[in-house]
Amino acid sequence: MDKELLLQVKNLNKFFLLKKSLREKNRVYVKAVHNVSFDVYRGETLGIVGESGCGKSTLGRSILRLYEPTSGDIIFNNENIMAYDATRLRALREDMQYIFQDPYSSMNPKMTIRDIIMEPLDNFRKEMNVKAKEDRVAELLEIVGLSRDVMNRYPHEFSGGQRQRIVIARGIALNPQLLICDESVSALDVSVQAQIINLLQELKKRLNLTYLFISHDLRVVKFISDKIMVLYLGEIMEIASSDDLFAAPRHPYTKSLIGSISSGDPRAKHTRVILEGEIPNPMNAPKGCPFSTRCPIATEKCRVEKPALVELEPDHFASCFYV
Amino acid sequence: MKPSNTTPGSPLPSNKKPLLQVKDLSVKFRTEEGMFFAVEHISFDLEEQKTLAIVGESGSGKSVTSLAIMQLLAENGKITSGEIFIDDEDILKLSQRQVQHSILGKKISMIFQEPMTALNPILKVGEQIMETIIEHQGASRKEAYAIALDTLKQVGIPSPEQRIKQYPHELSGGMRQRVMIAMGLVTKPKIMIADEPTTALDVTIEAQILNLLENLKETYKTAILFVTHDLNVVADIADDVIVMYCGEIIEKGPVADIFETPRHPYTIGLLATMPSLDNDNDILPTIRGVVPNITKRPTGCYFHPRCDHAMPQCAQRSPAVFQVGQQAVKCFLYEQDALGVQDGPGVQDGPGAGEVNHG
Amino acid sequence: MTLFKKNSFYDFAYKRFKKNKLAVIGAAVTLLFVVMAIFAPLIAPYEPSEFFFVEGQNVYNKYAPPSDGHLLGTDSLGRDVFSRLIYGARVTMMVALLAVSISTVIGTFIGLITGYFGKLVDAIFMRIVDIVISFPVLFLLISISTIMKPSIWIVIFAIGFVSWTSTARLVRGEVLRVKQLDYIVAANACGSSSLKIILKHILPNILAPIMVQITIGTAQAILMEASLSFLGVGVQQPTPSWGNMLMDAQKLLVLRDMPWIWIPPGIVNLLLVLAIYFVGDGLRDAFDPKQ
Repeated sequence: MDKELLLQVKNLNKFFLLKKSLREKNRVYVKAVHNVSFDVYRGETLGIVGESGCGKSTLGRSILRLYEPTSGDIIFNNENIMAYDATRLRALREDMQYIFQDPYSSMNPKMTIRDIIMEPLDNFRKEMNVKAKEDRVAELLEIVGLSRDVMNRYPHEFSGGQRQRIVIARGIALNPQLLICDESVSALDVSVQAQIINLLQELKKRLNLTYLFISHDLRVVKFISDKIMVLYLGEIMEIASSDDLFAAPRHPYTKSLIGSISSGDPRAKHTRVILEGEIPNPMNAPKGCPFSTRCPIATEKCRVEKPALVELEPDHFASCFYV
Repeated sequence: MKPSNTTPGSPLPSNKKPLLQVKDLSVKFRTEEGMFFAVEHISFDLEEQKTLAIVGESGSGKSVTSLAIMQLLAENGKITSGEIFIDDEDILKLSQRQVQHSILGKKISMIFQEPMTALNPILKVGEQIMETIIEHQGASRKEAYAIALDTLKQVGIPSPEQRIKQYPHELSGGMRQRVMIAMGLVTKPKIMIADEPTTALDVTIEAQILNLLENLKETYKTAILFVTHDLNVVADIADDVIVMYCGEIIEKGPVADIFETPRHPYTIGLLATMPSLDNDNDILPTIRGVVPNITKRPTGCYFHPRCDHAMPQCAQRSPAVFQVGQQAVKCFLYEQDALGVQDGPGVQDGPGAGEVNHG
Repeated sequence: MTLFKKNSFYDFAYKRFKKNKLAVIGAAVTLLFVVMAIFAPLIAPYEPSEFFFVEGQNVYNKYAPPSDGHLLGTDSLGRDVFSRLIYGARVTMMVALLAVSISTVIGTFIGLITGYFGKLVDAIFMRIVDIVISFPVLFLLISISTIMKPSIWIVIFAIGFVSWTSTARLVRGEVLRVKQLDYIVAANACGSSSLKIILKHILPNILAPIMVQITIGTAQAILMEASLSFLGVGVQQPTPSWGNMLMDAQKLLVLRDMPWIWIPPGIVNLLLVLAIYFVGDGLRDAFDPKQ
């Protein structure tokens, strides 16, 4: 099967200005996303994992240009969307959608479910009359496993899982090609989380979707992704297929990340890998490899020089001098 | 074996005397629609140097249980029945002053999920720890400072001499949780309640904190009541497990048994829904439906509308608790097993771990 | 009674408001004053500017103590205090409501714009707010009233002009709070325009604090009208307002010996302002279930 490139991110940077100053050298930036490049093929799920402050959410929002990237290129369907003006950018929303973490805050509490799901249709399907739009809303509700009777109710009347279904219904209303799921199942209870993951899997097949799945939960990411990208302090540490990454992690950070999660098996106690130290404050990020302050095998070279992202095997990249 | 009476499960066999004993505890909450049980007739024991995990989803009553023990229930919550023994003393019979003075912080302390809100933002962390020491041990400021510094060292805070002078917001989430643990530790309590202590933390930091808790348990011989929604963490640190659903204990037993041969259909479902690292299926097994709202609990067994093994009687009355091997299960499926001639587990009639509702 | 769509935010708020006794009393008192103002011609025994003479003489019946003919006596020009009090409610409330309307419209508009767009727009408008806040109102009004013929409209605009700043600041703060919520980002992500986001997503979600601000603002405007009129730069004679009825109390003789002239307008003023404040507090609590 030929793979079709859907999204290509090239050297994307997103810096937040923390301290304003007229002189460039006095300004303080946080490099939330630093030189990130990757490809996503149509029909694929790319998992993005990392701990808090690694820039995974910023990256997701920057790709949609909800945050304006500082530099870099985002090529979507062979077009560089960094060159888009506001009008074309708004039109792009049809093809790229975003599902949030917290289903409690991602819906306007004063709007009915009908109005919430209809909003993207109002914006992009001006040719549809109200009746047609309402039918589409009902259809979407059924797709995500809810009945059309809920249309006139308000978000607060639903449980977390049901709300996430509604949010997903809004997300797929325009038949997008790319869905960016930002911690979309993290706030849910275990039993509900499984239901939503299954729903996402089912929709992917049914609607031929491509996912960017952002999460801190390695288990969920492993389950849902074809390919996984590990971020640390805004930089890519490793990218590989989901199976490769877990079977043979190459980067020391990926190794400790996988090692630090609980085994889920009571008999396998005390095999936890403990990674010492903490994630440095992004304001004072290390000059060299961002992981050098906690890395068990770091040398002087790591502290002063940034390793490049190298392809170690086909489709397996890592940025470390010692892999 | 016989079904035990209303209190779920006889204590697990052990010759140690429990440090904490909860007997038939019920908590009701007042809502706009009336009074409802948040926790219903639960009983359990916690022994020295053991970690007992309470797992459940939101609305299971797991946090309410820990808050009830600490007597920190919100204004609309009320303990309606039961006894809570700490060192053979029913703390529910004590006055609020007595509890605050001689129980909380001294014999039992609590670690919260979000240390940022549990720490006073305008006090330096050192001051907050010292306050506890001065309050409970009548130490001088100088002594208290030395103890505080020592405790911060023990919970693995680097350069404690500087950290002790910092404010909570100047610390990272992991460091704040260590400070919380230090505050809970200074009085050397016998029992520590940890309410989702690692939920707000990153995985690598979570591993550090879990390790710390385990080490402290060894050093101080504390018993830990670990409240969490995360079964993976439970597998890692617990000795015994309590599974709660809708305010009731539905299964209880040693961690290895619970994970190897879960009995209650809910426990089975819960374990199966966890995405595991070596699961290559496309679809996760799920439990259908949602946890019912506290105001809309079904009749009979609370789990029956979501249960694939529900029988007519499940909708009519609440099942008793049956002892199967080391496990106590609140489910009719084990009525015969428990009453039967044979001892030991009788899984063949019960739901097997494999046949959960797929898709 | 179903005032609102069942289960809506306002339905819950209404239920909570009803449970607050003080707020309900406040609402009842306010309503009473409103009814009194609307039906003033039916309630008041005389015209507000009607002069009365001492019986059989060509002399004004000034400073007459309360009697059957004049329930609350007469004032320094021989007018019926009770009738002026009732008509005064009209003027006072009209001034307050119009002034608050002006300040709410200006304040909400500026608050929405500055909060949503931020950056330069925000910087400019917030400096304007600073300037307006530091304006000496009394001085402004006294100067205007010496240059122009004082009128009730000048009072209304003056009060509206100085009080929009607090609304603007409140709205701006609320917009900044709501703007970073996920549903605003979500609206953005599904291609809604800025105008739509402001009107459909932000405004309905900050309406509650604006409503509280309106009630508080009304009470403050009533007080402001009273002080301005008391000093003679507000509502001018012969139009009665609760403020200018207090003007007579500037004379020591009146203050000491003729309480019927200044106590009634003082009391109604206090009552109404207090009642509105109670309503405002009640609304605030009803809208914020956490408290």
